[in-house]
Parts: sequence; C-alpha cells; structure tokens
Amino acid sequence: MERLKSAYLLAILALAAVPAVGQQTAPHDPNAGAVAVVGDIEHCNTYPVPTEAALTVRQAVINAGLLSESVNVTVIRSAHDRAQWTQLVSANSADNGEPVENGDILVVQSMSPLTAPVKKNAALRTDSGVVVVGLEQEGIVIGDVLQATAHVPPNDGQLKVICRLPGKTQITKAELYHPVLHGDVISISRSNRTVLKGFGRMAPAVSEWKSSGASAARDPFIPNAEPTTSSSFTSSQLTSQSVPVQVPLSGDTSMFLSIPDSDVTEANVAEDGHNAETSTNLVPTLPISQSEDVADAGVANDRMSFASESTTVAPIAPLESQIGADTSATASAFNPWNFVFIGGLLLAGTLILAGTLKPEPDDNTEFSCAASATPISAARRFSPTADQQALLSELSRQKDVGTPLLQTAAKTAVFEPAIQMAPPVQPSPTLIADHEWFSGDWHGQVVSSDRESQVKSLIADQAPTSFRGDDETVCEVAAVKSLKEDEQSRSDLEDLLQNRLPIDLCETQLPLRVALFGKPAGPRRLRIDAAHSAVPAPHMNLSSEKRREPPVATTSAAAAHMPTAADSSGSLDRALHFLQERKES
Amino acid sequence: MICAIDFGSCRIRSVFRNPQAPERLTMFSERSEYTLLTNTQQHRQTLEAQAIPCAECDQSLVVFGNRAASAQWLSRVPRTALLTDGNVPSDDAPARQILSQLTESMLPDGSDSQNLCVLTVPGLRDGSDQAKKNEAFLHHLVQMQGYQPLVVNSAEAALLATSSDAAFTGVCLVMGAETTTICIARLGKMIVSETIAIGGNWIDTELAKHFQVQMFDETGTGYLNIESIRQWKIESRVNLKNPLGDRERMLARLYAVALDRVAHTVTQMLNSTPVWLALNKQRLSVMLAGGAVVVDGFANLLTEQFIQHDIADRILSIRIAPDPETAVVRGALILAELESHALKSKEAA
Repeated sequence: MERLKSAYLLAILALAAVPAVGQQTAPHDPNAGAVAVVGDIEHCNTYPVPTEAALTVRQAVINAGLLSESVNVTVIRSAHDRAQWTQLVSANSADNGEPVENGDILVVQSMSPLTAPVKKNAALRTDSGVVVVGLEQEGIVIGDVLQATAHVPPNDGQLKVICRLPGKTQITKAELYHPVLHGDVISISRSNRTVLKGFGRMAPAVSEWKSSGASAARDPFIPNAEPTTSSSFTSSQLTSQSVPVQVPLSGDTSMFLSIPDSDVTEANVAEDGHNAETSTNLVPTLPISQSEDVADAGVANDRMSFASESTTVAPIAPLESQIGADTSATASAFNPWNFVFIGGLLLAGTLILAGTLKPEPDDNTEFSCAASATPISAARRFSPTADQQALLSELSRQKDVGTPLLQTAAKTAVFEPAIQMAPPVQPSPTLIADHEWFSGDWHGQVVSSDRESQVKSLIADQAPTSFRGDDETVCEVAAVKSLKEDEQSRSDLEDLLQNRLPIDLCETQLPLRVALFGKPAGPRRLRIDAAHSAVPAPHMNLSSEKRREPPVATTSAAAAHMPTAADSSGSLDRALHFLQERKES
Repeated sequence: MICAIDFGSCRIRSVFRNPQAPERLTMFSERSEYTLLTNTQQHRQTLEAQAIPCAECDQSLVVFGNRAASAQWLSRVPRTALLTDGNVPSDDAPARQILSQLTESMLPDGSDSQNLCVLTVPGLRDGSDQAKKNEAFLHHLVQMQGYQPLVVNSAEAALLATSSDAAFTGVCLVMGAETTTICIARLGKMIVSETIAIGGNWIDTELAKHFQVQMFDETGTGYLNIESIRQWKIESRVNLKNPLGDRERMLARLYAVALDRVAHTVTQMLNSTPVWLALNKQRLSVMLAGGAVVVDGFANLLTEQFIQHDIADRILSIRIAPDPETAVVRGALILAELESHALKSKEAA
C-alpha cells in the first residue's frame, strides 16, 4: 500500500513537472533573431527573423525598400568576419530561396541609378549583436561610432572593417581614427570567428574572455569617453530597437547617444544587474581549461541567456583584464592544461613540418613529376635503360669481333638513334608517353603501350634479324624509321603542348565578291523610332512640366500629308539655303 | 591534314601545322561579324578601290571578317554578330552563308587520307535543341570541307594547351564573349564541365546600357555602341582592383557579379560527387583563358570570389594562360593530333 501511495505521488509530481519543463525547454519566441540591412536601402535597420516562415535574403532586402532598379546584396553571416556571397536583387528577380539567419548583415549596393537620396549608414557588429548607425554628418570616425554606441575600443586586431562597398578604399588594419563610410560593417568581436577560413582554416588563436562585468572602465583611447557600464546592446535590444543610432562627432560633446526605447533601457538595467552578478565570478582564462569550464558551467549558462545565437561568440572582454592580461596569463601559465596545450602545439608543428618535408602524396605525384617534365623527358630521351644498355654492349662486342651484324653504316646510323630515342620501359607519369597521360580508357594509354611493346619487341628481335636475309633487314630498317618518325611527331607534340612552336598569323583569302541569298538581320536595335518629321522648337528654357506635354495625336489626313523620311531628309538643307539666300538679298 | 577551328562569338580561329615546315603553326583569325552597307555605286567603288572583299545580298553590301571593321566608317550602324548570343542565327540566312564562306577559307585543303578537324561550338552545351542545331550546323560546315569533324569542349581544349605543368589536372575556365565554360579534369580526362551564359559581351552591354553609349543611324534608330566600350577597355587599361571613375567602377562591379556566378558554379562542381571521388580534397590549379580575362586585376577579383565562396582552400593557384585568346584553338589542335595518333595506331593494329 505504501508503495502504491509513493508511486501515485511520483506520478502526480511527474505530471505537474511536464509543463514546467516544457516551458523551460521551448519558450515561445516569435522571432528567431534579427538581421541587419544597411547600404543603399530606404530603411536601414535591424529586422526580426520570423520563426514560422523562412525569410529570404531577397524578401529582407525588398522589405527594407529598394532605392534602385537592381541592387547587389552582400551577405555576412554571424559566424564569419567577411562576406559570404553576393546576389543580385531586383523587383522582378527570382528568389533563390536563400534564408537569412540570426545575426546576418545584408550590405546593399545599388547597381543602377538611385531613385531617391539615401541616408548614409553603417553597421557595428559586436558580440551582443548588430547595431545599425546612421551617418548624418561627414567625418565620422570609428571611435565616434564606438563612443556613441557605448562600446569599449577593443584590443589590437579585434577592431575590423569587415565589409566595405566595392570601389572604396579598403582598410586592412582598422584604427579608431579611420573614417566610417556609407555601407561599412565594423566588427569589434572578441570571439574567434572564422577569419581566414579560405586559406586553409588557419584562424589565429584567440583567447576567449569570459567576463563582461569589468567593462565599466574608462577608455583611455577615446577623448571624453564616458565609463560604460556594460555591453549595451543585446539580442533583445537588437529586435526591439527600431531607430538607427545617430552618431555624433568626436568634438561635439553636446551630442550624446540616447537609447530611444524605454524597453531597451529597462532591459539594459536588468542586464546590468545580471552582469554585475556574473562579473564577480568570471575571470579571463583560456578556453581549453577544462576544470575551469566545469567550474564556470553555471556562469556559462547565464551568459548564454544574453549572448547571441552562436555559442562560439564570447562576451566583451573586461578592460582591466585586457590591460592586466600579463599578470593573469602569468598566473594561469602554471596550469597543467597550459603545458598540455603547449605540448600539443609543438607536436602539431612538428607534424606539419614533417608533412611539408615529406614527398608529395600519390595524388600530387603527377604534378611534381610534371613540374620537372622537361628535364626528365630530355634526360630520358637520351639515356637508354638497362636492357638497352646490355643490348648495346652486346652489339658493340659483336661489332668488335667482326660479326656481320649491322656492318653497314646506314643500319648503324638508323639503329643507334632508335635506341636512343626509345621511350623508357619504366612506367612514369610523363605527359605523353606513359600510362598517366589520359589515364583510363583514353587512347593515349593504348598508344603508349603499343609503342613501348613495339620498341621492346624490335629491340629484342634485333640480334636474330642480323642473321636473316637482306630483305628482312630492310623491313626492320623501315620499321625503325617509322618508329623514328613517331618519336619525331611525339617530340613535335611536346613542343605544341609547351607552346614552343611559332605561330604564323596569316590573312585569310576571302573571295572578292560573292552573292548571298536572303535578307540580313542587321544589328540589334536598341529602340525603333520614326524619323523626326519636324524639328521641335527650342525647349531649353521650358519647365519640366511643359516639356512633358503629351504628344498630339495626328489624324489620318494629317498623317497622309506627313512627309516621309526620304522627303524630309533635305528639308533642313533647303531651309538653311533659303535663309542664306534671304540674308544675301 | 590535321587542323582545328574555334568558332567563337567574337572571333573564329583556325590553326594547323605548316605543311612545308611542320615545326611552325599557321593560324587564321577572322572576326565573326559583318558590316551592312547600302548598295550604292559609291560604296561599291570604295570597296573595289581598297580591295575589300564583300558580298551582295538584298540590295545591301556585306563586309565580313576582319575587313568589317575597316569598312565600318562607311556605315552608321554597328556591326552584326555572325553568332548572335553564341548561336547560329536561324533568322539570318546571309550570316549562315558567311559562316560557311569563312570556314571554307580558313581550313586548308585536305591532302592525305586522314583529314581530321577538331572544332569548338559556341553557346550553351545544355543539350537543348538550339545547342544541337549549333553543333549540327558547324559540324556539317567542317564536313563539307572534307574533314572528319570532332567536337571538343572549349575548356577541355584550353586545359590541354595550358596545364601541362600541372599534369593536366585542375580547373580550366574559359570566359568568352557570350559564355563561360568551366571544366575540372584529372590527368587530362575531364570529370565535370559546365557552361554558363555570361561573358564579356554581357559586361559590355550592361556598361553601354548604364552609361547610354549609343549610336544612331540616319533614321534615328538607336543601337548600343558595344565596340566603343571594347575600345575603351583596351585603351584605358582598366585595373579591376583599382578602378578610377564611375565607368571603371561600374566595370569592376559587373565583373564581380559575373565572377560571383562563376565562383558559385565552381563551388558546385567541386562539391559534386565525381570530383570528390576523383580528386578528394586535392588542391587544384585554376587556369584562365578567353578574351574576357585579359583585363588587369581579373585573377585577384576571382580570388576574392573564391574566398567569399569558401573554396579558396581548394585552390592551389590562379593563372592566366600565356596566350589566353588562342589557347582554345591550340588545345583543339593538340587534341586533334592525339586523336590522329590513336587512329593511326588502331589502323596499324
């Protein structure tokens, strides 16, 4: 009975716990994140990404308002520090269905004349999200943007301009004094994004900072920089903020950024408190320290509540930690995991070094051999193989003893080059004469194998033929000649492959006069207009409204009296002649 | 006789070994376009005085080939392409006859028993009816000259001509006037190939449309002045990485758009199963050929596109062929000679 009671209580508890667990695991979130649209667009802003239906890149751009007929959209993913791809978008272009993701930045560049003036804007990407800033004034520098958005200037290498519209001077190493141009995407991410993924994924090793609570320090690099309390923009702000931030100039101390939305301020306050709680527990350390990771598991969970979607994005590093990184690094250097890490690096470096010194793998064998194809083939062409050398020595011995073999000079002259020009017996990846050339079922393999077998059989049969009759010897000489011709043609083909043959560009001898049938189509017309029958009056001083007067419809009778293009071709000349005559008279 | 002919949308080229001196190549190159002139006495006399070959048709005089440019000043309309959009025109009978005339003039007389001619066909090779018609027409033209025709992919031909130092393994990209052909090959054997309908003419046309570079004839009919854009590109020595002025910036953008499509296609090809099976993750050399690649900064721009498409780690190098405009026809001749060797060996066997 007691067991039944306990089972009943457990079942009730389990039933009561199910909705709570469900609420925790799958909270209702109408938006999966936000995407920022900047550049030549009507409403540059961050837009929420709905969860119920996929929002494509084209839809996002068109929702933001096109300012020209067609635009080129550069997509920057949140996990990358550079543009991922570009695509053309116009009002009537097909949608390729590429969805946007949380944290994407779409940089729009007009490909045709703008129909309306565009407000200059740029985007600032931080670990907490993307902020779209408006550039109302000229001369705004990166430091102004960071100051206005209450962000701490990052360390060297963390401040980057990851995207700039083509045609403008690209910045390789961004500094705070660099001007911000229209359409720029500035990144101050501390996280280890895939920066150099294109070049063998050699992303630089970046320490992951765990604390963001110490960001209230005063920035020594920005004049009049106010101490910031925390990373101001979070994912919640990203979706709720609807007005681009207007950035003041550095010298204008009266202009400060004001967060327009009260919800945002509340969220800031709440998160400031949250950060204040967590900041006391967080210390900068390397991410490989497993023990610290385990110890900070709870902190990591808290951090995930306000960090962006990507789990690899680290929060903003505390300034004190950055300045005093040496001491913390020295303290953490005694961690045994650091030695493991350093040992791993040394081992990896050794392996890489050994890999570079090792011969090429099988796949690259052809390349390495082909790179030195010319000397190899040249050396091989005049270096007989072991069998051929043995045969040559045998032949010379027979010549020394006065045997009738190859006594005539002609036969010797023919035979020796044939041996010298013979291709090697050993298979090798040369360009033409071996199996690797057009491997598989291509004809090159058949040709080369046939040629090799022919040469081998010819060389092997050469000694017995010396004891045959003269007719057979003549046949053999002819065969050797044909082989020599083949070798010559092969050599010519080698020259053709290497582009060593001179090219004579000749003039084509076309018939002087031919007759063709049919009507030529002619070039493609841009537009087809009727000839202007009358020269309109001067219209330079007319207003635009008067210029756009609708054309007067001509009646059929008037059209009947309308002179044709042929008739009116000389009307201007006649009029000028008449004026000249009247002036003279 | 072994020869090769490249039917390009901008130029038609043929090449063969000099019969008297086989160590030299003889090449013919003619523009694949014609100029329309009104059939007047003055025009006829001018053409005769300058010994310019021409044709008469439907009360018009037609000057085709290289001489079309020299007779352009007699006309106020731009020249007409013989292969409009890379296709043999179905509504332009004189153009088809001119193609036949040019083929006859540019191919040598077949002398011995083995007359082999390798040709390339312009336009898309997508198996459509238009593609089949193109191939059948040009195939027939070559056959009429007494040659056994053999059609080859232009990118494959360029690979043979330019990638000997890479063991004929890698990516070859031929950007022509109307189409861009890409192939990936291993040891000379093509694995995949793709043709996209974008080329130098698209860039020039968009540039002419954007800046309204037009010309008008006597009746006020407007035409895009593509030739003016081509001349400007040659004379101004544009660098795509350092464009100066609006027109150069627009040109760089258009090239970026075109190369974005190219890089996208290369990405798809590299990720395809046949390439994956044949090459795994081997890093490949990219060889560029075709007339549209002859602009400064092209390789750098393509490198940027490869980086943006995350395939830069699959690329070993990007090089422009030493003879980008003639690499295709030279590669076709190489293929013709290889095929000739194979046929001879078969006959001998």
